[in-house]
Amino acid sequence: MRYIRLYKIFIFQYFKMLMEYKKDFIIGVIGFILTQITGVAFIYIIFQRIPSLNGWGFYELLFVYGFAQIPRGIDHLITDNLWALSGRIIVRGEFDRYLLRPINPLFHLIAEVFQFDAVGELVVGITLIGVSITKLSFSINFLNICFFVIVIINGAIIYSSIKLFFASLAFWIKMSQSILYTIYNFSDFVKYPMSIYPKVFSGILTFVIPFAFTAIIPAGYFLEKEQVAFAIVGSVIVAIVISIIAYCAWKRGIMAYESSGN
Amino acid sequence: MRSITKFSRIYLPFSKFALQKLMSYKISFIMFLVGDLLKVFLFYFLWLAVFKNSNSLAMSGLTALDMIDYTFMSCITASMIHSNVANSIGEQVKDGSISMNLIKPISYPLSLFFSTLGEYLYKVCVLLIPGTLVLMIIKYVQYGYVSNNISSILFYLLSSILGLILVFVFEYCFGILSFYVTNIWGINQMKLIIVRFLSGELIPIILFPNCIINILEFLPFSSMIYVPTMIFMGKIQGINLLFAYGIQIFWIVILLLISKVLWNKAYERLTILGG
Repeated sequence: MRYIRLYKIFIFQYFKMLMEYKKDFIIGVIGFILTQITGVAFIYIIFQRIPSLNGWGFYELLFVYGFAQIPRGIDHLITDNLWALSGRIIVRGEFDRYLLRPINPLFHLIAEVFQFDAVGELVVGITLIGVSITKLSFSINFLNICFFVIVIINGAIIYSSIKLFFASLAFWIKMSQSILYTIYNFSDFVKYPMSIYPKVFSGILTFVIPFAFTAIIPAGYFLEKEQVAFAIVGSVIVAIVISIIAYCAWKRGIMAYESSGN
Repeated sequence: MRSITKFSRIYLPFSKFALQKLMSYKISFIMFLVGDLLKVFLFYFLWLAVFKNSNSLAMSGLTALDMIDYTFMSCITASMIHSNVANSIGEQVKDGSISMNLIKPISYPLSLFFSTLGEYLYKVCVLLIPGTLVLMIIKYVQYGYVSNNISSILFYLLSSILGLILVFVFEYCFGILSFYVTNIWGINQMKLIIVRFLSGELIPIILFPNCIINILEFLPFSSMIYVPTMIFMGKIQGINLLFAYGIQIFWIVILLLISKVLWNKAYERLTILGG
């Protein structure tokens, strides 16, 4: 309860800042929407040339694309400060601050920044899902809506855990932003069917850096291309396992942390 | 002759410094590069799948083999001619350090350009040469022969340097905007996205719908990445080659004129603020 109250206060503070920099915020959101438009245009141009990509149609991939934006956007909204952890906070010795407060340092770190730009991703994601649903024959029932909510949350947890794990490496190597950037780029691959990649590659995306469970696999379930056991239950298991691993890495990292300075 | 030696004595150290800076942050530079190169593999697999799913062997004259060339070289070219000038001018305006650079008795844009040139030379060594070799090995393993010839690689080099100058002048114009706008970072992000799409970094311009091709070929963006890459692949030859260089130079001149006008306006404003 205390943390919920604190989080509200943090968000409120953040909104005050946002109002101060209204123009920056709008530019940020437009930037994200533009990125997504070019992404959709890319898929559109590909489908001008071919009827389907390994059995997936244009609107199906549009659905996957939109679906992929939502967990990514939620994670982006909430845990954006992990980028600062990997790039600036540890190397400049700013991390001391989080250890001195009487609240969970991970909570403090994450609550500090509320990246409202991510609204751009969420808006595009929801719009694309809406557009593609009207073009596809979809079975919308209670069970599927429940599954949808579950896999979206799982997806966001997988994103955050991967970010937390690689950002935590900075506790040992001081700066891990370039590694995090490289790993994060892998998430671009999971908007397309896994069958277009070599086995090794899709294996890595499914089980090692499991971005596939944030987009193509759960989205594939709704398009009746994946089994419920693999797509839904699998994503729950993957999210649990990876969040435990990431949190352990973070905990050990704090132990290993030595402040900079003289 | 003496003026040339003096010129190089003043400006070459900027190139050297930029080169040394990149070398001292080697690991971080290379890791970011690896992150970008991953995208090459994404597009490589994607285009392979697209060709497998299409009935024809070529799309608008591009074969699967051409697409391997294109994905590799457009990404490498984009990295090579990348310039951070707009951002760094923005930061210098923000923290005021630009005034120190302006009172020096040298040309501010030229000093910036020579830094960019230093970075370009570094990237030729760590990116272009190994990248081209990897590309040729992949093609040799997959198809049993390498189709590129030396002359188109040399023509490519010239075109990529023109592309570098073009991107630099374009970025410089944007940098001048930071005299007016505070959030140059956000605008830069938007510019990056638009340029990436219109310059053919993601999709060869020739694959766009017909009416859009005509517009894009007229805009300066295609001269940045698409044209050098097509020259590398030997798709632009003979009289068309001269024509392509001509368009690149045409846009450099136009943007230089625009930058002059913008700079004079911004400079007046800067003096007023300082006074």
